[in-house]
Amino acid sequence: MSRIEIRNVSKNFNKTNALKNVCLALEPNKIYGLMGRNGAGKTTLLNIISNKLFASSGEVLIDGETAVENDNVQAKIFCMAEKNIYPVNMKVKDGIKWTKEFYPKFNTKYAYELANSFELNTDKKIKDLSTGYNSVFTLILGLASGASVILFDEPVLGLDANHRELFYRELITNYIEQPKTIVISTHLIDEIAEVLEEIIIIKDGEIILSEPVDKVLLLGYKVSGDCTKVDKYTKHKNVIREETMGRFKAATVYQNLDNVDKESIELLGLEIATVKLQELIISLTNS
Amino acid sequence: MNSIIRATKYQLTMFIPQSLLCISIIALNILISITVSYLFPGSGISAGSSDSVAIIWIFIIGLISFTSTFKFMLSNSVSRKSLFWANILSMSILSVALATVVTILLWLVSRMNIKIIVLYTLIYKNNSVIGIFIWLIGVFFLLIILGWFINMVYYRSSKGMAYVISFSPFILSGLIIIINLTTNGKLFDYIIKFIVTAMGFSGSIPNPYVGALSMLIFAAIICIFNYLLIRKAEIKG
Repeated sequence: MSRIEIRNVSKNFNKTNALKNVCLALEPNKIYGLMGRNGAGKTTLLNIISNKLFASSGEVLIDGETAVENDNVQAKIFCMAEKNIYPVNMKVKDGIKWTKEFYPKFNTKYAYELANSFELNTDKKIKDLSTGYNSVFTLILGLASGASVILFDEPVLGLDANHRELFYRELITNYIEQPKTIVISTHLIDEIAEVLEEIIIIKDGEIILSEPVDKVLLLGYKVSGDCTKVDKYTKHKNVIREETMGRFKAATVYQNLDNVDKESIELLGLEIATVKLQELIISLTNS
Repeated sequence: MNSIIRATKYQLTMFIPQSLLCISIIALNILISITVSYLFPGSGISAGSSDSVAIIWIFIIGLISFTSTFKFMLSNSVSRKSLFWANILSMSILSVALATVVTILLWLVSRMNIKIIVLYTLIYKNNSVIGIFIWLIGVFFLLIILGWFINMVYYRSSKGMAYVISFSPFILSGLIIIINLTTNGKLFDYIIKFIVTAMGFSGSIPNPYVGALSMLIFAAIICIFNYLLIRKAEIKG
């Protein structure tokens, strides 16, 4: 069980502010989705938590202890990087052997079972693996690591639909058998939506939303119909996306829908529809 | 402490194939010398210097020792501080191990009465086994630490800075020549005097132990810079 606290973390790369005063608390044994557009700061945040990068200011605490240059704290975290950072000449089976060396709770038997399920040849060198199998290799290490915090940065990059499905299934099984804090950064939102408990949206280096998935889905809805009527309804609402086609307009609203709102929609003769998580995130990150 | 031991174990495992290759080259070099001495007895022909091969090789090991290991270690929860100490430990072990193997090989060759060039003998004009062993430890440790330092300097530098660093030896040597000219050759005199003293040539008999000690002191100084370079290093790319 590990609680992660990110306090006022900022990160600058020369003149670019990759992260701006990020404050976040990740509760133990929950699955978080870290969403955002390319370059929003997702990888930077994960790399700061896992001590690969230093924050320009602020601090990261794991169970109350600093995560910076702390071997004991870092032993609780496994971070699957988007890019391969393993020696290219290393064989997959050696990668498994060495990860066991650094993560004492690493389950070698489980790692080989996963390799078998994903049809990963453990005798192959890492440099000979395709992009998809590179992802498979590192996600196997993550799942078998036994760490109480697992950070997945683009875990399904290059994976075919079958392997993605297998990963989501294994992730759930692993989580049920051994609850842990999992953070998944991915662009395939709809696929992962059912797995996630909480969602964190990062935009231009700032956290714009951190809520349970159910709550986010409840708050988002779409009203459509005549342009002027939609405008009348949404006048004092938090509209995150608008699409117009002639006299027809559809507006995505991110605000609590109460009975008064429902009556107004009915009176104005507008259509109401639920919004998929992916659509909602696209709207929130574009608004 | 556990992280340091694990990282040392990893680093030593990575050094093994490179070291075996180095020893194979030295063995091949000796084999050529043996063959030559049998084919052309008394000709005085010999293959290249065996200890020089190891000296060049260990410098190359140092040059390639950092980047890949650094990324792997940070991915496996090892801090920079632990990696620094693990590197010192593994490089010390490698220096002593390689010095032992090279010394034994050279001793065996000398017992077989085969002519072979030994850099140490050329410099210090003696064949002392302990002298070779201690001097090789000093040279190996200094060069592997220097290689690691150069690797880190390039890793930490931006592209532009890497070019500046690549050209800096030429700029520096030019600068030294100019300073030397303006001081009527005094700078070169000081440098030569310093090298002669540090390498143990100031007395009537060259002293390899002074040379070894000086090289270990240089290595310790470079280690301070290595620590400063590693402590704020970040994953790149």
